[in-house]
Amino acid sequence: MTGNVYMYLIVAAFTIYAVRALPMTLIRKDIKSPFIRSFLYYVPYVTLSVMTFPAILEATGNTASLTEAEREKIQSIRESLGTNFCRRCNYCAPCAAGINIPIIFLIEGYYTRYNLKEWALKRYAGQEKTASDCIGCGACEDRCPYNLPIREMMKNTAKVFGK
Amino acid sequence: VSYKNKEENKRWYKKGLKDGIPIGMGYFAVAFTLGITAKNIGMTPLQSGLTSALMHASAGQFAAMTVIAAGSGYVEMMITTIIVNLRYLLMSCSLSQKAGSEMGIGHRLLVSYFVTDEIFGISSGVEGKLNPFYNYGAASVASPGWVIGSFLGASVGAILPANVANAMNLALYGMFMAIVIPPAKKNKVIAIVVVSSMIASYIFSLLPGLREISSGFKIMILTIAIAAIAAWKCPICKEGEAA
Repeated sequence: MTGNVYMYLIVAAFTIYAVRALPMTLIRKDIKSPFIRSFLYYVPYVTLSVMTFPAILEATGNTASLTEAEREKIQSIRESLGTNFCRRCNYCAPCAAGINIPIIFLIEGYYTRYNLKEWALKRYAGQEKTASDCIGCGACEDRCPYNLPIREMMKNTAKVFGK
Repeated sequence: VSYKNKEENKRWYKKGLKDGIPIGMGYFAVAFTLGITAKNIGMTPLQSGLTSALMHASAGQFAAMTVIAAGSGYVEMMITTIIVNLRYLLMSCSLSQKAGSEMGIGHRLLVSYFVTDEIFGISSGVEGKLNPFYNYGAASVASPGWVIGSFLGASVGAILPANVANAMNLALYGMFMAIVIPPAKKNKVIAIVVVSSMIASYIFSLLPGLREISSGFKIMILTIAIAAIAAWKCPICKEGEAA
């Protein structure tokens, strides 16, 4: 930064004030021309609308497109989730063995993906029926709208938690 | 001499105070960013606050700080300031009529000092002629928000969480809509003007070549074009009434 800051500020303040004050002080009489009167009447509506839209959509500060690194991260999460991902709609219920299927998969997610191992273990221990109670009847798979191989996934979960 | 009715002036001042509160809050949040920029170019918090007190213009102040940081000449400062803030010329023209012939030069000089997008917005929105005390009321809460925000931004940096600052920023747009929508509901011409302005603004933000135009200039160009077409096609006959 070179030059005198205060001098710059005085110049800027004087200039911006002139822009604002000149019309206000020079046009003191009511304008007779219907066109100019109408024009000035419409000015605020146009100005405020133009200022608002589409700026309001960006005002949350969240419209930047994804960076390459973010895309890669999304892709790796997408791959790790695979196609066997329970959306917890609970249409599989009721389980013949009394397992709360979506909750079991949820807790498994907390264990394997969310890095909340201890918390997940406690929750899993609190479940009345766990993955190893699955009798493999497959009734849930007929009801799953996402055609998940629930029996396979149960076996996997039982392996993760050891029961 | 006009504005002799002290009670009336007091009523307008209070109304301005009340309407200025959301503006002051929004300004406070937005001005932090300005203060941080000021700090980055080596301004002291006092200088940052002083810039805000002297200019009351967000884009205008960013532009001024760019000129200061670059160490360009005073002439360049003048030209930049005029270009970036040209929309205030239009706003003041519009307010000169909203004020009416009874507003003397003293009040006009004072009102001019606080012509910002938001204060212009609310003063255009009042019923009938403008009483300057309304602007003084609004400015007495809005201006401190702006000045203190930019002072703090330069001294302590970003203390407001980003989502709070964004929410306050968003509130200013909500306020604009609260000014524009009620008359648009009553008057079809205004409704068409509002909708076409938004569409045009959106198109400007999308098309290559047009989207590079600075926001201040875009506001100018679209305001002149759309208000002129509206005035040509639907001139008003009485105050506030479309033909």
